[in-house]
Amino acid sequence: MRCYIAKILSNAPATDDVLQEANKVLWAKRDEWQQDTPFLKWAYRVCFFQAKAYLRDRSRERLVFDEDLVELLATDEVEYSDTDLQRALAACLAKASDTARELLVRRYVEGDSVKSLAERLALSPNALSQKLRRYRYQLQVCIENQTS
Amino acid sequence: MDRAKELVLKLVDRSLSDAEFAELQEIMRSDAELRAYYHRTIEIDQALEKMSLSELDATVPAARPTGGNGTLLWRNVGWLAAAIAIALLVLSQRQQSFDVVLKSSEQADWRGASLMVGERLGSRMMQLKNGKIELAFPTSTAVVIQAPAFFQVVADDTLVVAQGAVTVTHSGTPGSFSLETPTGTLRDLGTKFGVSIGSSNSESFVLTHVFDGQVAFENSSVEEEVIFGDGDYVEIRGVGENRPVTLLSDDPNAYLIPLTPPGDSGPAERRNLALHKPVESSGFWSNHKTELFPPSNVNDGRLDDTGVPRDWSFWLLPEKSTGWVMIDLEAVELISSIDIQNTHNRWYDDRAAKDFRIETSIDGDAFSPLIDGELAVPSKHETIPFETFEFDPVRARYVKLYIDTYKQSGGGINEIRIYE
Repeated sequence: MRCYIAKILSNAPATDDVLQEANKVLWAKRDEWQQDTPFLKWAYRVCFFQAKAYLRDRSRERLVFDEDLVELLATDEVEYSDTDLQRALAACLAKASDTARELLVRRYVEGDSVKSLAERLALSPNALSQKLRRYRYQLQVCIENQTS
Repeated sequence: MDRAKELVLKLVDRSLSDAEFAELQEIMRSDAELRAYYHRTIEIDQALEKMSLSELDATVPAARPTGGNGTLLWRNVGWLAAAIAIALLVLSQRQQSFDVVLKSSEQADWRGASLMVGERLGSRMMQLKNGKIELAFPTSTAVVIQAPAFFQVVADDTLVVAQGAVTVTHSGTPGSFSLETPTGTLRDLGTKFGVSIGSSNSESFVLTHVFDGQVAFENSSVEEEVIFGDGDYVEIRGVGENRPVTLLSDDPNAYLIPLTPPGDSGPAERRNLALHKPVESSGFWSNHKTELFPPSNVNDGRLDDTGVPRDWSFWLLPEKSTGWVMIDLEAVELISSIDIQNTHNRWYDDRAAKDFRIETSIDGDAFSPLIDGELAVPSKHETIPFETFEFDPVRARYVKLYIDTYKQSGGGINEIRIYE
């Protein structure tokens, strides 16, 4: 669900807040879930409306998708199964160069901020972001090869 | 990477300009393939963030304990342990940071905390499982450390090493750098020296060789510090820095070769397919009770005839015999390059491989010749080079190296690395 919301919000930091709101709504409306409807489908629908409500309130902020594109993104299929993705990610991280692996782990798994990581490595945040993007792109190419 | 994909990656970073965002939205509206790429990018990003350190460790081949179904009690204990671990983690993150920097590394494989080139060290104990690194201290001291190693920086002028091979080059003020070992402290008096540290069940070994200048050795059980001079090599045995030690001067075990600093980043980017894979051999040399030189030493990541008594870095064939060593890559791999590091059997300088040949197989039964040649035979005063043999890519699971001729008492190999 977090991933679904992140896609609609273009990975905005508010993803967790919206997820929390969606969880509250799911709990409050749990009696409305009809058991002949798949739970996840219902949950995604709730997430979609929560995300849309968030975007409506912040339509003037930067990097907010237009409504027509949000609709398109919400109806696109999920690309990877969780299991396939986890397996491919582990395999590709194991294959990645030491430097790429270290940097990706620091940034994403250990959660170091770009600013603090850049300071420790004596790089500008911009240079570090570019490196991270390049490594992520390589990782993505590897994952696509693994899962295709 | 094409521009649209780059814009997607920048969007996921939230670092797009307004104009770039407008451009990306326009393309995404009409390009389903790019939208699919966007979905995949976010899914990978989320999976990375969700990945735990333990899951990440599982991507590194290692023996791991298996978990069973826990009882409620054990689950509660687990939660308690987790809470303690988090508290310890928070405390450990408040560690001191020093002006000691990781200057370079070669195929470094860390366990627990890790370091990147250019990064300053904190005060935590570090474990280098494989590879080689160089630290730069503000005391004008360069320290090369070869795995497997446990070490800890405790001050801008002091390094603690519990295990590993180390070469210290100190050009600062004499006496301004110290290396603390399990048997005592080695204080650099403006010199270059090597140390190899290990332990058996009952005692620690600190093999020390002064390549140039002088080193002072201090142990609280020794009344006055002991000075090791230029060319001295000494084996120090003991059970603690405050307990009596035995100094064995001119012990052949302690004759070390300086470690070379890690190479450039080129080889580090490649994955050594042979590292820690299963190995067998036609035999290996041992003198029954004290020393063993098993075939698993040829792909353990330890180089340069290093180690300590009963735990050396190289494989030796039985006395005056030819033979082979074979690495099972555990899967059919495409290989195109093999690095070999010979041995000279430390100070003894009496064993080395000369003529060799390599054969490969996919099933372990039918082998085909791959390469043959003659390895350089370095003397005990020389660093042992890695020799690289490149060839047209072949598919292989089993790589078998035969030693057909050898120096004096027998053949042997320090390390074999195999690459795609």
